[in-house]
Amino acid sequence: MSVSSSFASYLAGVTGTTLGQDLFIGEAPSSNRVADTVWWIVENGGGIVQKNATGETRKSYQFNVYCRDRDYGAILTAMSALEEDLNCDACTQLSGYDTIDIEATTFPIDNDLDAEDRKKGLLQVTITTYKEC
Amino acid sequence: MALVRGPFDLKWGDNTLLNIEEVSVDYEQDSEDYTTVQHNTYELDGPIKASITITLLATDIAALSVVLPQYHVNNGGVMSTGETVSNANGAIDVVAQDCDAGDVYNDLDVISCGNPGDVFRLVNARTKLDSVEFDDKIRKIMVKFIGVPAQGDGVVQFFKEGTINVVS
Repeated sequence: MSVSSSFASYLAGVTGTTLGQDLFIGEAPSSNRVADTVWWIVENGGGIVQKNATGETRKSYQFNVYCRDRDYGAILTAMSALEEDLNCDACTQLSGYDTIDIEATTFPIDNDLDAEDRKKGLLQVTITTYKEC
Repeated sequence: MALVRGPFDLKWGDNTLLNIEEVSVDYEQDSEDYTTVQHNTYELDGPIKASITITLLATDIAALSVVLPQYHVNNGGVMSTGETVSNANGAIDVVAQDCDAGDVYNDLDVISCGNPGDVFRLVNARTKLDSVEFDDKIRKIMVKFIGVPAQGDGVVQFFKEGTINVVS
């Protein structure tokens, strides 16, 4: 399982969404094919931040988590709740990854690119994992 | 083998300590070097001393009465300087103890997250006020837990939560 899939599974549990229905990886489907409220995550990549003398590595991955809705207030509430969940839930282990830390930063809500009266919220998530090679 | 991760829970006896910014462990073992005329050096180890200093961010009377019970004056009690306390949480009156009379001893457990967690225990620790720090935003209080194990007992211990039992 890729770290994106593992994070998406975790996110589905936290946000109460379903992968493939209102939560997507990589990009959101066009607005006429899904409900108004959708979430999607985009992986920004990651790399090694520390390598042990015995070969194990500490890696840092970055994700953008987007939420699209017609209701500005609903996005604000959802993103704020998610930010608090992610920053407080420090004991969580992503499936298949020895997770050291999950941190989230919020960004301003903006108009969605395709407009249609929709807004888009952004949360940037940094996940630090530990890997035995 | 696995990482032992935070956030960590701190328990002193039955009390869970919260709002801790930092935990600092001091561990020291006396030792002395002896050199032979054959040019060998031997290091001989002696007694061990260990303590843990925590930095508390929540420093109201309710929080301090948990970690410094020996200095706690109940509501209606009298301070060492003669005033009567009229607050539900009482007050803290730091007075030098006579012959350790008021000291409270408990194991201090630092427990990792996970179920079960990994425990680092400072055996039979008493507390004392270490220092107080003010900036323009918040008051911080450093409390030192000093391990005072009984003769022959360990100073610090590592174990899995819930896996050691008292022998009856």
